[in-house]
Amino acid sequence: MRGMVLALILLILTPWPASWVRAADVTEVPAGVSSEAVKAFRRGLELHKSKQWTAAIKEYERAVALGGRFPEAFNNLAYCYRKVGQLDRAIELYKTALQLRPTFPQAHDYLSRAYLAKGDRAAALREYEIVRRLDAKLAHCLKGAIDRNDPDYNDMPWASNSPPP
Amino acid sequence: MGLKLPATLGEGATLLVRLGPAVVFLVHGWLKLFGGHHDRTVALFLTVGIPLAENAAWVIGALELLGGAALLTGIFLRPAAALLAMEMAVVIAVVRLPQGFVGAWEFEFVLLLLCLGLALSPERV
Repeated sequence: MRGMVLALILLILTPWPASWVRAADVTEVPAGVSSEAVKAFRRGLELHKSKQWTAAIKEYERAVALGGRFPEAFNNLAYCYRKVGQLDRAIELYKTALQLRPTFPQAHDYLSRAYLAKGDRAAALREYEIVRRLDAKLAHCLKGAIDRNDPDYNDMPWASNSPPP
Repeated sequence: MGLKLPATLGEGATLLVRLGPAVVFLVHGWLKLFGGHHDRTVALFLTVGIPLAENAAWVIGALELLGGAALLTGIFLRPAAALLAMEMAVVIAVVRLPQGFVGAWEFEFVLLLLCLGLALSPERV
C-alpha cells in the first residue's frame, strides 16, 4: 500500500515534458559504422548523383564491406544495381537495408519499384502500403508509378542523400 | 551479515527499479496510441511480417501503456511484467537481432531482464 502511494506521488510529481510524448523525427546514425565506411559511402554518393552507376556500386560495396550494418549504403547500392538492371540483387539488398532499419521509407519505395520492374505488382502494392504509413509524399509519387506501371515514374535521382556525419 | 534497511527505504529502492521500465513503456504506449506513432508501428509490423498488423499495433500500444501503469503502481504487476517481457523477447527475435547488440537490441534486452525479474520476483516489489 505504501509502495502504491509512493508510486502515485512520483507519477504526479514527474514533470512529463511535452517533448517526451511528441513524435521525434531524428536522423538515425547507424551505430558502429566506421569513418572509412562513411567516406566510401560519400564517394559513392557523388558518383551516384552523376549517375555513374558502376563506379558508385564499387564505392558502396566498399562501404558495406567496411561498415557492416549500414542501411543507407545497402539502400543506395541496391538503387545502383536496379539502375544497371540487376533486379534480383537489388531486391536482396533492399531487404538487407530493411532488416537493419525496418521503417526506412525510401528503401520500401525502391523495393516496391524493383518489384514493379519485375512485374510483381502484388508485392509492389504491399510495399506501397508500408510507404503510405511512413511518408505520405513519397507514397503519392510511388502510387503514380504503380498506376502507370512505370517504376521510373517520379523516381528520385538518388536515394539516401543524408549520410551519417 | 546483511545491511538492514528501513522498510520505507527498501520500498523506495524497489520502486526505482520499477520506475525505469514503467516510464519507458508508458511513453511508448502513449505514442503508439495517441502520439502519432501508430502508422509507424503498423509499417514496422508489416515489414517484419507480424500478422494482423493494424490490430496488433493497437494491442501492443495498449499493452505498453497499461503495462507501464501496472509497473508504476504495482497493481497486476507480475502478469503485466510477464507480458512485457514476452513482448521484448519477440522484438529482439523478430526485429532487433539483425541490427546487432550495440545501439540495437541492448535496450530491449535490459527491459526484458527487468520485466522478467519483476514477473518472477517471489516477493511483492
